[in-house]
Amino acid sequence: MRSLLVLFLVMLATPGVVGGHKTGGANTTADVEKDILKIDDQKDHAMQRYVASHGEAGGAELDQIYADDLVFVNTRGTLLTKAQRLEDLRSGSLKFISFGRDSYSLRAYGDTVIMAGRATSVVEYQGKLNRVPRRFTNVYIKLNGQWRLVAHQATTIAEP
Amino acid sequence: MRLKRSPCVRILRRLVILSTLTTTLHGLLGAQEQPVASQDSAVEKEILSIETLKNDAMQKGDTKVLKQIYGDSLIFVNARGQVLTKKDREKEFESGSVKYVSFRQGDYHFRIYGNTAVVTGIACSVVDYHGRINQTPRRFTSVYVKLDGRWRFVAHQATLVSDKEPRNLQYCSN
Repeated sequence: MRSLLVLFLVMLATPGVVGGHKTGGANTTADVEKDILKIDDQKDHAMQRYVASHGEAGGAELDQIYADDLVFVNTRGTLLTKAQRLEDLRSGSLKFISFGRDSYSLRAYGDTVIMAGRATSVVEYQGKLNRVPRRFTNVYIKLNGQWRLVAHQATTIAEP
Repeated sequence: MRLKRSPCVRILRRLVILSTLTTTLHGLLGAQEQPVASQDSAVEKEILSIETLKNDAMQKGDTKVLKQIYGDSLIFVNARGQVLTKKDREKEFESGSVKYVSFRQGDYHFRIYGNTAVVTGIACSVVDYHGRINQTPRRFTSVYVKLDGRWRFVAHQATLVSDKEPRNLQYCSN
């Protein structure tokens, strides 16, 4: 009877049996940081190519990186879906005069990474030049083994 | 008189019991599994109740409650594009440099990814921020992550909404 009880307790304590909370893979934070920086760079390059080619190039990469239910809030406070964001980029209403970001920080929570940074790109949006730096937050989540951008928000930095 | 069983019989008996217990446990736990949509809606309810608690605490300047909800590594980007830590944010409430003249927040949309919830919404509260009155509506994104079994507020960003885009203001004008 005692051995039965021991067996029962062992089973309860075995995550595989009770379907316990999954812990992340073997990735260290440094590995995750590298992955995210790489994917964020890929996104930015694909975006510039997509804008310059009016949607002829870079679309496949953006489609892979943007999650299907992406929520994208631009500096005007408008909420865009993935399709609306891609259309915004493709339509020619946005042009990059220069592209850059000068600082960022990352927080990793298992398969979720928060990336906050400062963008210094000079852009022309709907005919209006914008050279004021912006704060942005990107939320990346690993879905089916792939890091996807699920949320982005940008805020113009106000003068002190 | 009790018969003495051979070690092989004893092992076999234990294996049979073990397999029966495993099947029973799987059955019991399987019965607790819910469809994903129902799980997501339960999470939405949970997050919404935390948002309500947080909003009440913000209006009362109750940093005890906020400390419980804010993640230790919170990244908070306010509508002026300033980045604040958990401590910075708590200090703002403790010092009284954030005061709500009126409070209205809603139009919530949720995206649930397991132990992460992304919430977007609109805030139309009128706020006295460091002596300046701000009544421009803000769109925000908040991220909650379940840490040690509790949902914590780990990231937030707010952006002033442009009045040139009427759909931005729909919620606040209703």
